[in-house]
Amino acid sequence: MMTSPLIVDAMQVEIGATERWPDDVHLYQPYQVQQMTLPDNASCLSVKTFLNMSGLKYSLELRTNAEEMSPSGKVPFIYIPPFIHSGMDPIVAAVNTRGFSLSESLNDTERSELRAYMVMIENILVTKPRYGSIHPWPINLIIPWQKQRSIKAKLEAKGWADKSLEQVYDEVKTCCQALSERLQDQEYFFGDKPTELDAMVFGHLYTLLTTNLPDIDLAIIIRNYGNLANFCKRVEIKYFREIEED
Amino acid sequence: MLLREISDDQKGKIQEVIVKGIYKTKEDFLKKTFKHVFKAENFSEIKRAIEEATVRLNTLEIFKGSRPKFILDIYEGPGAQPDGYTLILNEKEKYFTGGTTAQIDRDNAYLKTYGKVPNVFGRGESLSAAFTLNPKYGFNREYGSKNLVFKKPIGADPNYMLNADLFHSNQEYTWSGYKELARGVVLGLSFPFMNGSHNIQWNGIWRDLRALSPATSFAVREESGHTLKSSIREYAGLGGNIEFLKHDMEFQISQKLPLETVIQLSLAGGLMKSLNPSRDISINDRFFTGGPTSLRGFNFQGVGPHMNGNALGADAYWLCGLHVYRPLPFNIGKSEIGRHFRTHFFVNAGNLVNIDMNKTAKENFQTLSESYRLSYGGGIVLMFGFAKLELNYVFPIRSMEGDRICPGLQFGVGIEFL
Repeated sequence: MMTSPLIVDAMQVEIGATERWPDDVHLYQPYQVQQMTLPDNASCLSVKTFLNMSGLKYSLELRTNAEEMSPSGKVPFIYIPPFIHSGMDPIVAAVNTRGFSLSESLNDTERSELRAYMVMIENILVTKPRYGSIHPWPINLIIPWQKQRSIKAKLEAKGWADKSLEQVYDEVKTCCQALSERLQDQEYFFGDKPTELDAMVFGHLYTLLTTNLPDIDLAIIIRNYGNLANFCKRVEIKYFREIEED
Repeated sequence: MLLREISDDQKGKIQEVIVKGIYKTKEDFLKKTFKHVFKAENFSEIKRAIEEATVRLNTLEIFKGSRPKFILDIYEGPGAQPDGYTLILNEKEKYFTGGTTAQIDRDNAYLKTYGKVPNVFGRGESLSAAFTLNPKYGFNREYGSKNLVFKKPIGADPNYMLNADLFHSNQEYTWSGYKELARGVVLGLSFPFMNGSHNIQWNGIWRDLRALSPATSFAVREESGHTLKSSIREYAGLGGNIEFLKHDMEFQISQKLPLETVIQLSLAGGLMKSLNPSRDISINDRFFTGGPTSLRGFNFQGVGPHMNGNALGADAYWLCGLHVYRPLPFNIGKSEIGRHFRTHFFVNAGNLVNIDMNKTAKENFQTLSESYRLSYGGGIVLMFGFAKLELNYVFPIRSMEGDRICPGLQFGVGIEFL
């Protein structure tokens, strides 16, 4: 017997609200270097940062087929038995229904605006040959092409496909300018406590700063905003190095 | 006009073969087809050689109609011998066949539309395409399967045949909670060997497996993704990322008893072994069993390891069935329709388990024999051609945890039955 997805969703909301954080939570993502596109990498890093900031325990599972396992095709996805949530927003929502929240006072408009910018920026920089290297010949030649096609379609929908590299850099600059002004000298974007916005900004900026791209101009643009670069350093030390040391 | 009584051992020689109405068939192909006709020394040999050529022409669908008509005339050309004859064939070449058929298997009905161009390059090659739809999904092309087959006889002999197939299929495996998109190539060669036809095949399949719904169990979900399987028969491990050995066998014996009773014993078993210890055999390669055509009294593929109602399959199985068939009682069984029916009583047993490589063969054998499933029942069998239809009342009397049992009335359609 197949349970209808609608019932499962309803169950998910109900049970999700009553249960706290079980011990066997797993976060699934593809192998970082060999497999992921930049936006996926940023998204995985954002989710990990978010969970670390929330102080929630999980075990990280690296799978070559993480993308195919995910119900929505998005990575990462979190498996809180028996439920699966994929993508940043649904994971944040799922964590919230379990009574953990980083942001009560978050400005929705600002967040979605920022998110839209981020996704668009990084979609430009899909590194085609890296994706699919774990598959055997000849499908390792076909899958990246399929992926590239789907990303191109996404970009066209957003009207980004025809932009030149200079235009893209301008957009990135505008975006960083806005973020930098929002952050100013504060510890985090909304004062001294981290929110999911911090997790997301870190995930995306850190990915751009540290990934070896054919073009390093984007990293240079980000470094020009000192407070953003310092922010990345702070978060990395506090939520990754210190946690690893524990 | 030739009006003469001809006896089989009368001497005769075909000196000329005339094939009329030929537009696309090549001459060298026809020469090979009629090669033996020229070698015949008497009429019995001529008849046999013509019969052989007819079978070849029919198998390769060169002409319309299944019985080409030959005319024998006295040969009067250069070098004519006293018992020399001319063989004349006048038929129309076949250009296209096709149609739509309905197929039923397990719990699905399919609509198959196919087209075939026989003798496409004039040497007996054929090119056919088929498109199969499952009306359950409406006319959604995503859930159809397509295949394109090219066949070529070697030396105009249909017993030696090369084939190359391309296929694309998208299917749902509801009992396991997944769907699979498969694209592949088959290259094969069939040839006569000992006293049968043998076939060597290389198979390359790219499979993309996805969970069917959010309710699909996590064990099945973990198997999602792309796999490439390259195999000769079922030896997989020639490139690709699937490596295993699979053995599978069936055995059936029937014995007539007095009072028109037939007793039948069927045995089947299979075993597969991963050749790469770090990789398990994936769900779309594993064995499944259970259902109205195998282990009756269970749901289709409902025997063996399950998680959240999804069948996971396993790497070893055995099945055993004992049937007693009787004609319908009284005189109904002798009527025109009644002859297609039988009543039967049966006992089925079987098991499907995973072999643990860390255990000894003896321990594994114990698991296979101890956790067996057992069912018995009776019903009516309808036979039409090579397919069978069964309506049974079944009592599953031994099942294991996780099995999906189906006691009571069970209906089955199929070609192969246990």
